[in-house]
This record gives sequence, C-alpha cells and structure tokens, in this order.
Amino acid sequence: MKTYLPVLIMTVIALLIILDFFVADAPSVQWIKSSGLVLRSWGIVIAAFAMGLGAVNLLRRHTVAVSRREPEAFYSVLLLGSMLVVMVLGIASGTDNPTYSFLFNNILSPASATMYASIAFYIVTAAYRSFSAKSLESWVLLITAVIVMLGKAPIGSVISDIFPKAADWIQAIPNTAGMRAIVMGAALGVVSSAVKMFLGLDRTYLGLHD
Amino acid sequence: MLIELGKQFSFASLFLLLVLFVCCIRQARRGNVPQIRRLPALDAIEEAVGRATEVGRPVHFSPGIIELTHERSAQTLAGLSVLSYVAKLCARYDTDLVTTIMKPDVYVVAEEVVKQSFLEEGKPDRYRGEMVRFIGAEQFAYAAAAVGIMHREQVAANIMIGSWLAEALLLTEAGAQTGGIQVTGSATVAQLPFLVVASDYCLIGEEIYAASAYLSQNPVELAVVKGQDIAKAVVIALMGVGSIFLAFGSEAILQLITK
Repeated sequence: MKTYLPVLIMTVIALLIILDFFVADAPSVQWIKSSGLVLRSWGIVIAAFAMGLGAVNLLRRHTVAVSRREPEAFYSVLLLGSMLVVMVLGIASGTDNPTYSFLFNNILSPASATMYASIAFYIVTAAYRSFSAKSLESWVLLITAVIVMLGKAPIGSVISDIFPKAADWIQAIPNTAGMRAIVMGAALGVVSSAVKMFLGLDRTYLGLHD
Repeated sequence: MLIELGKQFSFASLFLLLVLFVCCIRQARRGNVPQIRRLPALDAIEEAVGRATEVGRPVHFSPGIIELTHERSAQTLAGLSVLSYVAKLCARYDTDLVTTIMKPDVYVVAEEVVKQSFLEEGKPDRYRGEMVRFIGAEQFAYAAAAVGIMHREQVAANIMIGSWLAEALLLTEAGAQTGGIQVTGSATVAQLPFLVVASDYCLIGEEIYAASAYLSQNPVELAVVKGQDIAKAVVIALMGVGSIFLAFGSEAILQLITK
C-alpha cells in the first residue's frame, strides 16, 4: 500500500496534467482544464513548503557548525546573520523596502555578477586541459575550436576570408545537426522516463527502488 | 473535437509510444531481454567512489539546478536515480557523501533517496543529515557555495548528473582543481560542450535517461530503452521520408506532423 498508493496518485495526476495540455477548450472537457489549473497551483504551494524545509536544513547545519566551533564557523555566523536580516526585513516591510533593495542590488547582484564573470577564466583553464592533442578526437576538437575562434575574432578575417565562412558553416551545419540529434534523443528519453514512472517502474522520486 | 488542433499528431504519437513501450516490456517479461551498449561514464562511477574510499575523502554529487516542476525536471529525476546508486556505493564502502542541492523541492526528495539507499545497504546508522545539503535557490550563490565545499572538503570524486546552466563550468573546474575523477551528464545542449571538455566522463543527452536501466540491469527498464531506440529509428525514418517528399514538392508529411 505504501508503494502503490503514491504511484497511483502520481499516475492519475500526471495523466490529468498531460490531458490538460492536449484537450481543446470544449465544455465537455472543461473539468480536465480546471483540474490541471488546480493541480499546478498545488505544486506551487508544495514547493513553497519545501523551501521552508530547505531553510530549516540550512539553519540546523550552520547552527551546529557554530556550536561546534568548526574551523569555518565564521562563515556560518555570516550566513545566519544575513539570513536573519533579510528575512526580518522582507517579512516586516516587504521586498519593496529600500534597505532590502539596497542589500539585494549592492551585495547579491555584484557577487553573482562576479561569479558569472569568473567563468571566462575557467573557460581558459578548461580549454588548456582539453586542447592537448593526444587522440584523434582531441585533434578534431582542437582544429575545430581554432577555426571557430579565428572566425569569430577580428584577426581571423584579416588573415583570410575563409575563417569567418568556415566558422559559420561549422556552427550552422555539423554543430546544429549534432545538437538537434541530442535534443531529439533526449526528448524521447523524457517520454520513456515518464512511462517508467506511470508504470511504477521508476520509484526513485519516492526514495524507493526495485 | 476533444484534442486541440495542432496537437493531434503529438497526442497520437504519445499514445503509440506508450503502446510500443508496453509491447517491449511484455517481450522482456517473456525472457527476451535487450542488451544495451557499455556506458563508460557509468562504469567509472564505481571506480570514482572506490578511489575516494582509498584516499579517505568524500564524494560530491549534484543533481543539477532545476526544480521538479520545470520542463527539464526529467534530467533532475535521472540525476536522482544515479544519486541512489552513488549513495549505495558510498554506504557499501563507508565513504562520505556530500550532495549539494539548489532547489528546495529537490532537496526533500534527495534526502529521502540517500536515506533509503543507506537503509537498503543495511547501514542506516551511517546516514547523516549533512550528506544532503540545501544551499540556496540562487544560481551563483549555489555555485559559490558548492565550489567552496569542494575545495574545503577536498572531494575525491565529483559526480554531476542533471540540468545545468552557466555554473556547470565553475563546478567542474573546481572538481578538476581538487584532482578527483569527474563524471558528469546532462541533456542541456548549451552546457554539454563545457561538461565534455572539463570532466573525465560525460553522459550525453539521452544517455542520462538510460542510466537507471544500465545500473540496475532491470529487464523491464532495459525494455523501455529498447522501445526508445525503436521510436528514434521511426523518427529518423519520418524525417528522411519528409525530406524526400519536400524535395519532390509534397508537403504531406509536414501537414501530417503539424495536425
């Protein structure tokens, strides 16, 4: 019962959501449309509760780190302090509060932008490691990357007109064909995963196995 | 008309796919179990956990940054299937596991998956709440925290199966810097190039959905993978026929699939 009931609930809900996508806006199937709408709202509410559980996990772990005086406890104090300030400000005066906006615009946004910008350096280190021509595949990767880089950089067209044309061809033909093949295969993979769940074959989402 | 115009072909295709999968499953139950090719990335997971055990350092796992209600959530669920396998290996070898999670709904499921895996390996007492860590629902805050955890705890294996955005390269480069084996997998096309170049093994596209069948060798799950391959062959044939029809000026196939 503990296994079959959740699978049954999931199958019924999933079928309703799928039918909601396909059925026309006719009066006879209006109940499917309205059920789909209600179920999606429930999903939002459940996700909000999950956020609460996540916050409890964060609080528990960092409080333990502080009480045990772990080597990085300073960061836990910083996290707990920031969490408290933002929560109190947000709950007490809403997200339009100037102090709340100030914290968001001057701490979170620049920090996120810094992380994003650091990707440029990581691309270089990843390229340095992977572009060592040790096998046929590495050679193909290396030559393709050099052609595309020269085609996209101004110096490429100065050296030869061939580079921009070759770069465009690589991106438009082999690259697009490969990407579409991956997308199509993945789409069928999604359907097969859904079928496995419908039939109760994959129950990992319940924390259960065979 | 009960089915909306423009979605009738999709609906019929979905129904036929379902019938095809059921036929393949029935065949497998009769003993006609299909074989699937080797997936080196999945074979490498045991090696990665084994090496982490030898050096006494933890394994890092991430199921991606997509919630369970998103259109790409199937990738997260595929990641959670692999997580259960990784957690079982960690329980078996008494290796520490660190699972970092960005989305709260995924956190709840991941915690249950890891707990259950330790229970199934007969070591429920080895499970600790710290094995599954909710970081925060902000993309780069998650990336910064996960990179920090990987460096501080010197993870010996980094396994990432799921859907990623720009943070994919930050995590895999952190994994490379700690010197561990990296096994990644995703069906998010924009991030695949980064994962392929930065990790030791990478599952590409549909391979992540076959992972659960490959790892369990469950005949019924293998049958679904076979059904998926038959469907792929049909789609390729349809594309070929459609191209020939279009070349001769007929839009019959095009009209059929847009019905």
